Amino acid sequence: MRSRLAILIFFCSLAAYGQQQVPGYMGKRFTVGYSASVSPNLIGQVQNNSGIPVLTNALNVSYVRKKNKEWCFSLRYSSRTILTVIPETAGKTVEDKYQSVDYCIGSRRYNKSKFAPLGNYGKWEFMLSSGWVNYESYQAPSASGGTLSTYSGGHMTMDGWGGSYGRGVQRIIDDKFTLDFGIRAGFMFIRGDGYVNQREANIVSTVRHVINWSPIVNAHVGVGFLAF
Amino acid sequence: MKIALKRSLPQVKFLLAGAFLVLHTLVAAQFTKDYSPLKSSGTLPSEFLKTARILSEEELKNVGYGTDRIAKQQFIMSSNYFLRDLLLSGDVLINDPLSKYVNKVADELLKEDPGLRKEIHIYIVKSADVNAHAFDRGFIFLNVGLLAQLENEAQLAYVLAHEITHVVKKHSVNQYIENIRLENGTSSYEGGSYEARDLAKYRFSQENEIEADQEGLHRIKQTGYSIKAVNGAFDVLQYSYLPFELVEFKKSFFEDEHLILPDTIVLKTTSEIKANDDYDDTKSTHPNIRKRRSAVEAELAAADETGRKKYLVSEEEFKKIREIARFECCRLYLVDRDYVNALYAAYIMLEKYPENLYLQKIVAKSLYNISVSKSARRRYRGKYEYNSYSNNARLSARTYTIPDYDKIEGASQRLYYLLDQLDAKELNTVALSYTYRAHKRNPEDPVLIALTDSLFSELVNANQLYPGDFSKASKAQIKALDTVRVNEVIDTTAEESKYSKIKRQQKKTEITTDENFTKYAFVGLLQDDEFVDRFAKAAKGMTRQEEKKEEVLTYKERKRREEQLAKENRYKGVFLGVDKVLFLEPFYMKTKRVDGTEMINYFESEEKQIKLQGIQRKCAEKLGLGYETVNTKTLSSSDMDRYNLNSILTDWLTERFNHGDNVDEMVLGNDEIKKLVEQYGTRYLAWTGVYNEKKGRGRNTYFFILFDVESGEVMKYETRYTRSRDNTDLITSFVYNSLLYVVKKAEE
Repeated sequence: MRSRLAILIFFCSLAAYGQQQVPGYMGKRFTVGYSASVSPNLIGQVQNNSGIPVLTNALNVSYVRKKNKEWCFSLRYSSRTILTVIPETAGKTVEDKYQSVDYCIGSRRYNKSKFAPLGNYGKWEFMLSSGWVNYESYQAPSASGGTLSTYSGGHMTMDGWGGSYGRGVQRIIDDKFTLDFGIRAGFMFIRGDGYVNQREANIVSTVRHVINWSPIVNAHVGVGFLAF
Repeated sequence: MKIALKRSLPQVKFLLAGAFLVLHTLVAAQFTKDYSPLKSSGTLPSEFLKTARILSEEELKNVGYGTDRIAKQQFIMSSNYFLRDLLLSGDVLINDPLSKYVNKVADELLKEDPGLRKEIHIYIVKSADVNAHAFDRGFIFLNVGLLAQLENEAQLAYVLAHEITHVVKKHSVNQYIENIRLENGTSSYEGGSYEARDLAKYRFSQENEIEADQEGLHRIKQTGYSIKAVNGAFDVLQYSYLPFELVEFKKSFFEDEHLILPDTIVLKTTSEIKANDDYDDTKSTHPNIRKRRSAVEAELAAADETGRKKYLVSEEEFKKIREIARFECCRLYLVDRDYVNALYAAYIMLEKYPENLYLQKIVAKSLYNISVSKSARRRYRGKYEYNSYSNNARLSARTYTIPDYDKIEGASQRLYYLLDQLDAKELNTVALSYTYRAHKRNPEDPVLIALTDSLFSELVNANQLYPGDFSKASKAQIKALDTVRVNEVIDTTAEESKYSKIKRQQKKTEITTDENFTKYAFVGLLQDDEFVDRFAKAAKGMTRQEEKKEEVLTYKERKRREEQLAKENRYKGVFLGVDKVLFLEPFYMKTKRVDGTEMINYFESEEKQIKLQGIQRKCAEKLGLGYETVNTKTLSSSDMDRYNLNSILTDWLTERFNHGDNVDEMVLGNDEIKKLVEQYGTRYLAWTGVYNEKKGRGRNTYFFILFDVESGEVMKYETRYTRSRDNTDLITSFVYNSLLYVVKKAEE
């Protein structure tokens, strides 16, 4: 966590160092906002809820670094239910909750004729993901009806990284507030070598299957305000 | 009683003649020394204070119903939009001597119809074009150029009568509706070819003109004005392309005792005036003059001239206002960059008023501009265009060239020929000689001082002529010396050497050849200490340079050099560090598509224009930029000063755009501009605008131009094209960015 914060601070400093005579909007270059994005659930979800999209909440900070470019930093939180196969149960599954916090750094490039943070833009983003699952204890039943083996509950973490590209439009209302909407597509890889037993190994496998192979496609809407 | 009257008649005639002479002398005396350009005065009429929307709403209520309802509504909106645009353009004069007189003539013309008189509003437009036009709403605009050409008051009355007919018969709206019908192929034109419909448009317009001519004549008949004078009005139109007088141009105008122009540059015979009155008018809104004359010919021939007069208001006043119009024309030609015409017009007037400073300045300015243009190629050679970081663009370089003298008819052709024949060095010499002499007659005039400075600089920098290139001794003095020496040679028995023969030969050739007239141009002026000092000052530190041959570059080399220059000048002119700017009323035009045709969204354009002003103010305040505006949208009836200021700036801007990038040639850096700079505490003038169309590649065109009104330099010229809508936030970001670079200092 500390190292991630250090990276964030490094890029913030870089942005401040690279400050030029850029107009921003009415002299304001720093925007703080919230956005919500939804992406469809396609793979490895709970069967009954497979159509329910995943909601991601994000806190965004952006800083205009050049005439039509800005640095963007986001802290995103999302939560989704996954179906994990219990070992030694011939495919019996249980619902677990995978939650993640993504640290994102990106760059928005607005149309050449416009001034950041206003107008149509394209955005590249690099993401570091920190996810976790709190799983319940479980007793695998034997064929005779007794308990074959017992899996205790626990907490496991998974790290990952990814990238995305999106397009959107940002408008400014009343010289103070921002309204941002657009779409994004990307990918994410989850590292999964930190499991200690088969139950955790199955969780990792499921998360990687869901996250790695379901493309990040989402639409987002955000609001914010021009801070300074 | 009758006898007494008869006896006193010669005395009355004598008194009248005396009074006429006194008045004539007074008129002449008014212009002897100087002339001040026309200005509006009094209070602003109510029509000037209403927006196009308000003007239109009054009329829209009375449109009524029918098939042409939409067309009529569109016409009302468009005509009021353009009417308002013209009224506030700065070109319309209010309560000036010309408007007052023309309105008196209108009073006389409509004496029997006071109701109609109330509906007619007549104004003078500062334009040298020989033209007049009317709006159906009752507004009639007469150009200064027309007044300068008219021969008498009756002709003016006929022009007014013609325009009044257009108003009464609502020709404009009828033409508009007809045009829409023709474009859509509806009504009686259904099925007609495009070509046939196009021609029908012109035919309809020509019919209206003939009707206005005939009705105008009927109106004149109802007054005491001379009917025969009407024919003269057609002459005015026919020969309107010629100057207001035809006076033979004499080269002695530029000469002095020592500066003698060669006879070879004087055209022996000038082209005869052709002025075809039967030209092809099939694609003209007006019928040709022959048709117009013949439409009223019979009526003119049958007209009873008994008791009719050419002047009902005042002959003296007519002559005075015509003289004013001619003075104005000289200036307007300059603004339009029609320098030879300006020079010729001033030449005509100088024959009457030889000491008039205004006219001398017109000549000096014209000569300066023509001279600078001739040497312009040398100055701009080797310069490349570049785009800097702040998106600064260049206005197009508009080099002035003297119109082809072959195409000029009449007496003025001699002047065109003479100026054409003189090369850059010769013209510079002539211009300096004339301007310096004018300066000596008017030593305090700052414009003449500035012009002579510029001409000295031009002589040295562009034409590489130094004090040493001009002879201090006159031709006669050199000749005398030569004669003495030749006599000495003859008197002595010694054999003349080869070299003395060559020198003698050269000296003789030099004296006898007209081409070297510039050598002796300043003989008289070089006796003047001030001239010598200023010439030496201009030439100080300058050395003669070999003229560089123009490099021949391949496309790739040229491209590489341009890129290099662009890189070097990336930050050039980015930050200007200006603390106060005077903003002209912004331009805003929004269009919409109606039945596939792009049309101006009149009301919204006007509202957006007001909004843009607000954005400018907001951004300037945010940046701490001093904000002043010449806003004509919020005029009150007592705001005549602001109206006049807008007029001055509009003139300046017109001339500035006519010059393109050639800042050296600006001539209207006059006293009024200096007063303006003092009044507002800034020399920077900004003009912003947006053109937004519904469809097309560049849906939004935004521009921002910043001028230094003292030097005429374009400090910043920025254009932006976007495909998006013209939202307030987008325009705000554009304006803010433009002003940011204006405010920030380079070192920040």
